[in-house]
Amino acid sequence: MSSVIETKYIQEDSNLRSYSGHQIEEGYFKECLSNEVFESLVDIETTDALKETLQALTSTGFNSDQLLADIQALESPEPQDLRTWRIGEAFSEVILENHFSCRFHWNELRDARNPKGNKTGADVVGFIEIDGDVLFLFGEVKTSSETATEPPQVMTKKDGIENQLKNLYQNEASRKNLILYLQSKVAHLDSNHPFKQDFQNAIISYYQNNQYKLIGVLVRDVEPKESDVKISYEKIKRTILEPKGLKLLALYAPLKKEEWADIIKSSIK
Amino acid sequence: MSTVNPKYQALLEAYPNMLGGIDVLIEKAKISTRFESIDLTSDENEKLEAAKDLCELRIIELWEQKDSVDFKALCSTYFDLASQIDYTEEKEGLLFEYLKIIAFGYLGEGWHQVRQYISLQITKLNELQLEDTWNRKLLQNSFNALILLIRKKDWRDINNAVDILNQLRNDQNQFESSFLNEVAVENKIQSVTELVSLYHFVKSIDLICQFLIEGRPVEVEVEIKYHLNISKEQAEKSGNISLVLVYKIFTAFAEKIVRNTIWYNTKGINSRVSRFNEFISKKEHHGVFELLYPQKEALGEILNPAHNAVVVNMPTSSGKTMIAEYRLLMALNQFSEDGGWVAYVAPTKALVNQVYTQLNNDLSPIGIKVEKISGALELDGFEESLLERDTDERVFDVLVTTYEKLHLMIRQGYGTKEQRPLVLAIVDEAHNIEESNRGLNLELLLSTIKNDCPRSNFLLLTPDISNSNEIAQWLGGERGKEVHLSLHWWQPNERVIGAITKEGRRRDYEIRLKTLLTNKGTYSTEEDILLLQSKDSDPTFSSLNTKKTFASVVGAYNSDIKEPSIILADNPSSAFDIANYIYGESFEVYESDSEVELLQNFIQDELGENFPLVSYLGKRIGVHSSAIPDEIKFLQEDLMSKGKLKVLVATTTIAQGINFPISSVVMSSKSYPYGEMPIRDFWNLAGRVGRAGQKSLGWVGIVCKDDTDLSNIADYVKRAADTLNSQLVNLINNALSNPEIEFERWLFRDPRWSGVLQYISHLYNQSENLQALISRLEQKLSDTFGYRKLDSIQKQYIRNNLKAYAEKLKPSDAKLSDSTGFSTISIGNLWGGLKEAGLNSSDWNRTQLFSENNSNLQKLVGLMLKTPEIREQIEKLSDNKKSLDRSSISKMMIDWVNGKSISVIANKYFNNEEDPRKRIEKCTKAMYSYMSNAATWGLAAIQKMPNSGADWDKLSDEDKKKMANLPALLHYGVSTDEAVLMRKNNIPRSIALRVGELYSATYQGQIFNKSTSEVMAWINALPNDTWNTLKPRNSKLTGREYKQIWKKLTGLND
Repeated sequence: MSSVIETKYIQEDSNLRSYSGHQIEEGYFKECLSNEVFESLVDIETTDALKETLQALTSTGFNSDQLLADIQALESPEPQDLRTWRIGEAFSEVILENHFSCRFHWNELRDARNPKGNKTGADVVGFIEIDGDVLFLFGEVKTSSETATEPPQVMTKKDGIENQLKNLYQNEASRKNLILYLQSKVAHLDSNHPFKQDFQNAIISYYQNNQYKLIGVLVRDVEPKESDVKISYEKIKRTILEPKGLKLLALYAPLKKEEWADIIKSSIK
Repeated sequence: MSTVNPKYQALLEAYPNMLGGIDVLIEKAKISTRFESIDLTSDENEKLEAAKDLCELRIIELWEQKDSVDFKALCSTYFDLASQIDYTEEKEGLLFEYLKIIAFGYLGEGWHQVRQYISLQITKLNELQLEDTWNRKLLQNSFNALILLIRKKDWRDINNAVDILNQLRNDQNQFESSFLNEVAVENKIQSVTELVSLYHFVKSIDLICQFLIEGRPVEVEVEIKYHLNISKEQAEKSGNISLVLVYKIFTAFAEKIVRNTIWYNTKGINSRVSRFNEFISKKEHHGVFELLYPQKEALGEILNPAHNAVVVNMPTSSGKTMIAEYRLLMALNQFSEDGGWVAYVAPTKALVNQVYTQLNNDLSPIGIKVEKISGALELDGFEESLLERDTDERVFDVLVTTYEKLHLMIRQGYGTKEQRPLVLAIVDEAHNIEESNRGLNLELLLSTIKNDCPRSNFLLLTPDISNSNEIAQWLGGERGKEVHLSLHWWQPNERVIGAITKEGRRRDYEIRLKTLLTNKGTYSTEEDILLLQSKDSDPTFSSLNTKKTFASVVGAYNSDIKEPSIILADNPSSAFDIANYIYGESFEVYESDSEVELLQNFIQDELGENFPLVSYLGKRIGVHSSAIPDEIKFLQEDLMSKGKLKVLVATTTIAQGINFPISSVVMSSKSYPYGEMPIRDFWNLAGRVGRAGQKSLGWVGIVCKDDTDLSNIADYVKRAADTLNSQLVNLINNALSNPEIEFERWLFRDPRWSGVLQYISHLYNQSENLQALISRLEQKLSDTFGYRKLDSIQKQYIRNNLKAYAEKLKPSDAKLSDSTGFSTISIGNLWGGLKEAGLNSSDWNRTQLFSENNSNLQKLVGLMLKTPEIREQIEKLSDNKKSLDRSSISKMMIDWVNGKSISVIANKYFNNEEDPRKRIEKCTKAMYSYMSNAATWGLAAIQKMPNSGADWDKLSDEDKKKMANLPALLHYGVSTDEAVLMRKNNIPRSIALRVGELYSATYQGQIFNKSTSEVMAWINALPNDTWNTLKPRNSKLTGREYKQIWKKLTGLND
C-alpha cells in the first residue's frame, strides 16, 4: 500500500473477502479532490437544459406547468454535484482505482456518474482484478461523521450499507441489469479495448465460476476505528456467502467534510 | 446429437466454452412443456437461466447489426429461453422481463409467437400491479397499453390502448404534484427527468397505436425516434438504468413493429392497396395489422414491377393468400385500363372454394369482383354465360379455378386477347408440378399461358423447393425471381417429429414417441416421450403389429378436445375403422352443441340415419376422406377450426389446404396407397401441426413397427426435398425404357400423355400451317419446364414422335381437342363410336336422356369406357366386388340426376357390400369423385363432337346454355338448370331443386344473367320461413338449420 494511504487495520479471510481501514494523507487528499474528483464532477448539469426539454413536452400531450414550477423552485447557487455524498462517492472511486486494482472505465461510462435518484443502480459499478481474474465489482458508498453509535448508522440503518449489500447479493435481477447496462456500453468497443476485455473476463467469472465482488465503502472525516466496519463485516459475511467476494473499506479523510466542496471549487478556473 | 436447430448456433458460437449442449437443452425444455414424461432437473433450469442472460448480453453486443441473421437468431433464441422460465422477480423486474420477451420476440421475427405468449400469460399480466406512485402508474399503464397493442384481437384492442394512454394525460394533474411533493429536494431533478422520460415513452406507444390503425403519421419512425431519444436522455439523467435499457430495447421494438405493418410494407403502391389495408385492419374478427416474416420478405420482391415471374418459397401456414392479394391488387391497378384480369388456380375444388371465399370476403368490399369457376372439367351454361357477359362489361377481376379449367379457358382464347388480357396467374401449391397425375397439367397450363397470354405475369406459391430459381427463369427469363427466406430456421409454428414405438408384452406395454432429427427446425430430445401405458381393455401387444390397430390405440389416447389431432389412415375404409375404435374407447360426455348437432342432422339427411359418422360426432370424432361428400368434409373442418372436434381421422387428401389448428398428427404410415408420400407432401402436412394459436408444441408421430422401420422413418424425415421435377421427364423415361410400345399406344397406357398431345394440337391450332408448327416445334417444346431438363436422347425421342403426331393431325380434331380437353386420338375414337350410336337431337333432350327407359345414356357410357382420359375413373364407378355393366352405370347416373339420395343409390347399386356403412362410403366416392369428374367431362366432350347429334347450331342462345348444362346435371346430381345454379352456390343437394324453382320463379326464368354475388345475396335474403317451406318433408333439419348450413358452406358468418 502506498504511503499516501496508510492502513490502520485489516482482516483478510481470503483474497476475496476482507475488511480494512485507511488514513488518507492530507496533501494526497487535496490533490485527489482538485484533480480526479473535480474532473469526475465537472459535468455539472444546469437546470436550463432541463427547462428546454420541458418546453418540448407539449408534443406528448402532457403538461409541463407543474414540472417547470418545481424546477424553478430548485434553482440554488449550490451545484447539485458538489454535495458531500457525491464527493464521497467520487473520491472512493478514485481510491479504489488507484490503490485496490479496481477499474471503472469512466470515459465510457460518463452517464453512470450521474447521481441516483432511484434503486435501479449501485454507487459502485466496475471491475476488480484479483490474482489475474477479473470480477464484476458492485457496491455502495456512504459518507459519515457520526461517532455516537458503533458502527455509524449509515452502516446499519434501513438503507445503510449492510442492507444495500445484502440486497445486491439477493437481488439477482438488479445485478443482471447492471451487467446488461455495462454490456450496452462495451458493445461498440473494439475487442482489444481494456473495458471490453474486463467485461468479457468478468462475464466468465460470473457465469462460469459464479463469482463477483461486493464492496461497501465508508468515507469518514473522523479518527480511524476498526469497529466502523468490523461489526458490519462479521454480520454480513454470514449472509453473503462464498465464493462471492466481499470487502468493507473505510477511508479516513484528513479534512472535515465541510471543507471538501471548497477545495473542489477552488479548482474551477 | 449432431443436428440441432440451426437457430441456436449463434448462441453456442458466442460462448463456446460456457454453453456446451445448450441447444439440446433448449429443445428438451420446449418438449417438456408439452409432455409430462419429460422433466427438467433444477441444474438444467439454472443452465437455461444463465443461457438466457448470456443470450441477452450477446444481443446487446450485436445491437448495431439488427438486420443480421445472427442477431435475429439470438433474439429468437432469447424468446425460446425466456418464454419458458417461471419468473420470481419483484413486480417492476417482472415487468421489465416481459418487455424484453416482447421486444426480443419481435426482433427475432416472431411477433406471432409473442402474441400467443401474451394471450397465454394474460392472467399473470393482469395481476401485475406496480405501486400506485405516479411514475409507476405511468410505467404500468404504458405496459398495459403495450400488451393490448400486441394482442390486438381486433382494432378495438388498439383503441383501448389509446384510451389507457389518454387517461394518463387526464390523470397528470391529479397525481403529478403529490408525487413530486413526496420526493426529497436532492432527488427532485432525478424524479422530474424520470417523469419526462416516461411522458415521451407514452407518446411513442401512442404513435405506434395510431400507425397500426391507420398507417399514419407518415413519418412515424422519425417521430417515435425523436420521443424515445428524449426518453433515453432523460432516463440517463435520472440515473434510472433500468429505464435506460428499456428505452434502448423499446426503440428497436418500435421500429420493428412499424416495419411489420401492412402500411409500411405497401407504402405508396396504389389506392386499391390502401383501401384493402383499411378494410383488412378494420375487419370485425381477426383484423390484420402486421405481416409475418415470410410475408414481408416476399412482398418486397412481389411488388417490384421489374419481376414478372416470382416463385415464393414459404413454409406452410405463413399466410400465402394475403401475399397473393397484394400482388393481384398491383396487377389489376397496373392493367386496369386494358381490362386486365387475374387467375388464381388451386389444385382442388375444396381449395377453389376456400380461396374464393377468402378473396371474395377480402376484396369485394373494395370493389374487386371475384368469381369462381367450378372444378368440373367443362364449362357449364352458367360459366359460359359469365364469360359471354364479360365481353360486354367486365363481370370479374379475379377468377378462381382449377388448373384444368383455366387451361381449357385459355385454349379457347380467354385471356389471350389485347382487350381483357390475363395479366397475372397465381398458382397456389405450385409444387404440384411434380405430382404424378396432374402435375403435367399444371406445367402445360403455365407453358400455354406463357405462350398465349403475352401480358401475363406469374406468381407461384410453394413450400420449399430448391430449384425455384429454375422455375422462375423458365417463366420469366431474366425477369424471373425466386424468394427464399434468409432465416431458414423460421417456422410459423413449432413441432416435434417422431416415430411411435411400442415396448412390452401381452397387455402390459408402453407406447412412446421417439423424437427424430430433421432439417426443418423441429425439436428433439434424446429421451423417449411416454405417450401411453396400456390398459386392460387395450388390444394385445401383438395385435399392434397392424399399423391400423396401432394408430387406433394412439388415436384413442388423445381425449383432450383442446388438443385436436388428426389420425392419418392409408385409405377411406381404414379411416372408418380407426374412428370406430376410438369411438369405442371414448367415455367422455360432451355437453350438447348446436353446431355439432346441426352437422349430425345434416348427415342423417344426406347419408341416412344410421351412418356411423353421426354417432362418432357425438364423441367429437370426425372422418375425412374421399368417401365423404365435400360439404360434410367442409363442415367437419369448420368444427375443427372452432375446437369442437377432438380427433379427425383422415386420409392424405386432407394434407392440402387445412386451415384449422391441429395439435398432433398420428400417421399410420408414411405411404400413400400407391407408394411413399413425397417428402414435400409430408412437410406440407406436418407444417400445419402446432399452428400459431395452439397452446403448445405440436407433434407428428409415424407409427413404427420395428427397428428397421424406425431407421427408415428416421432417414425419411431427415431427407431434404429433392429439386422439383417435371413429370414429362418421367413420362419419356418410361417410354424409352419400353421401346417395344408404339408411341401412339402410350395414351392408352398412361393418360398423362393426353396433356402432351393436347399441347401439340393446341399449338397446331395457333400455327398458320403444319410447316410453321414443325419449324417452331423445338422452340415451343422449350416453353415447357420439362423439355429443358431432358438429355439429347430424350429430346430426340419426344421431338420426333410429336412431329410424326403433328403431321397426322386433322385441323378439325385439333380444334375439338382444345374445346374438349381430350387428345385427338380420343377424339378420333369418339367420332367412330358416335357414328355407330347414331344419336339425334331429340336424344339429347334432357328428360329423354335421363329417363329410366332410355338406353342412350348407356351407349354414351360405352363410349366413355373407351376413352383413355376417363376410362379408369368410369370403371371405378362400379362396385369393385362386382363390375357394374354399362346399363347399371347409366341407371345409376339417372338416379343421381333425378335426386335419389346417396343411401338409396348405395343400397341399389352397391348391395354386394354387406356392411351398410361401406356401401355408403363406396357410393359417396363413386358419386363425388368419379361421377362428378370423369362422367361429367366425358358427357361434355361427347356433346361437343360434330356428330353427336346435339345440333348446337340450331339451338337458341338460351338453349345452348341449357345444353351445356347437361354435364353439370351429372356433376351436381340434380335435374334442372336452376338447381345447378343453386348447387354452384353451395345449396345442399337435397334442397337445391326446390330453392332453384323459387329462384327461377322470382326472376321469371331469367337464370343465366346474375353474378355469383347477386345469387348469393338472393339466397341470403330468404327468410327462415321460406326455407321451411322448401325443405324436404322428412328432413331432420329445420329451415333455419338449412340456412345455417348454407351460410357455413358459403363462408358467411352467422
